[in-house]
Amino acid sequence: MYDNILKNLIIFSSAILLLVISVSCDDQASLFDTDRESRLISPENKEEISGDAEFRYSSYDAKYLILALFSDYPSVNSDNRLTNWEDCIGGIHTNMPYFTRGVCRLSIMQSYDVDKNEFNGNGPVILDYNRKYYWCVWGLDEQLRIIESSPVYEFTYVE
Amino acid sequence: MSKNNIINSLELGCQSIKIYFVNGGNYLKNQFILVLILLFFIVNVDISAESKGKEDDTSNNIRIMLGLGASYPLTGRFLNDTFDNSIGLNIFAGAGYQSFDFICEFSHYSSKKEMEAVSSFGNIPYNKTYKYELLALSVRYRLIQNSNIVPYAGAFAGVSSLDIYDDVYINKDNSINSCRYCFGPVAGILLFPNNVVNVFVEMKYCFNGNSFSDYNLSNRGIAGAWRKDESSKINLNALYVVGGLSCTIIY
Repeated sequence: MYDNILKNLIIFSSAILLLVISVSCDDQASLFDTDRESRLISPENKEEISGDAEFRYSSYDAKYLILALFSDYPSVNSDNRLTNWEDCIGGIHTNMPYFTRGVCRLSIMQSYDVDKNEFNGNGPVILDYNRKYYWCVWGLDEQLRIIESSPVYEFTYVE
Repeated sequence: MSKNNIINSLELGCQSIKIYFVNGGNYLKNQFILVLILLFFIVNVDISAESKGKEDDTSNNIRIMLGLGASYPLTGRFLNDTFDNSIGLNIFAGAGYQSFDFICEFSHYSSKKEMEAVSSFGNIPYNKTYKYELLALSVRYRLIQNSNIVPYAGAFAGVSSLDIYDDVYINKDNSINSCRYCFGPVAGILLFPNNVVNVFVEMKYCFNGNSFSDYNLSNRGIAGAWRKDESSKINLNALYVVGGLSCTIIY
């Protein structure tokens, strides 16, 4: 009888452990160190996209939101600042025309100007075919502090 | 008769100040006129005191004074767009002998102003806090002794400091602090100076050695990094009206 109880207990504990491991493995870290996490919906991580793809995400109540595309994995330093802005190729933020919370088409995004540190409106983002890119979203409060951030998802742009 | 003269001159001075504040034109003109009124008031009170003669003996006792007051700047950049006017707190301690009082005083003013920083996301509102403090030594000469109304005139000199900080994410790390020397004339009246608790009302003009540094915030680009830009200097020379209670112990 005790053997059965012990056996059941071991099976139950193993199941719990597996569940915890699977959940923690699935959870990608946010780009920035923030309390709240934005969720990227589509394209999913390592998905292939084409044409005028739609980027979908969900966010909390950040006053200002930024969606950015990178040609290399974005990295953040200990001061919670992005260090490789030169790899940013474009994006959109709250104060730009046609911005809608939660969804943005590739054709609406504007290319990035390194000197001005702006999505400067010099035309839409042009992606190379069969190349890996990264996208993420982060949100700022009314005093431009980063308060929420998503993980970084990789995608490949195909014909 | 001499008291009536003093009261008359006080009334005249107050009326003149009132007229010039209501009808006042530009900033510099107002300041000049107010200094003239202040000087006129001091001279008038002095003449009145002289005319009274020296029928009352001055006291040879030593006076120890402690006081608390409030002050309000009537002119200067306090009234312009630099920051909102605020009532200041004054604390002083001093000693007096015969007609002279030697006082160490501390004044504190704090004011907040709503600002806007230019950024990629539009203009970002933020609050800027100004803390203006003066620490000064002053010498005052009592124009009349042994009376319930004692006019006095004098001068002060010391240091003034302006501390500016904002509530944007760097909080007080973003502050700037500048110190200047300050000086100016003082004139006022002391009511019931022989009582333990007495009342004083005075006007003083504070000249600061130089104008104070100020800054504005801006945020260029989407990186979210704030930048401090130097803005125009603040001139805090101003005429103050001060009033309060003084506790006097006579030995």
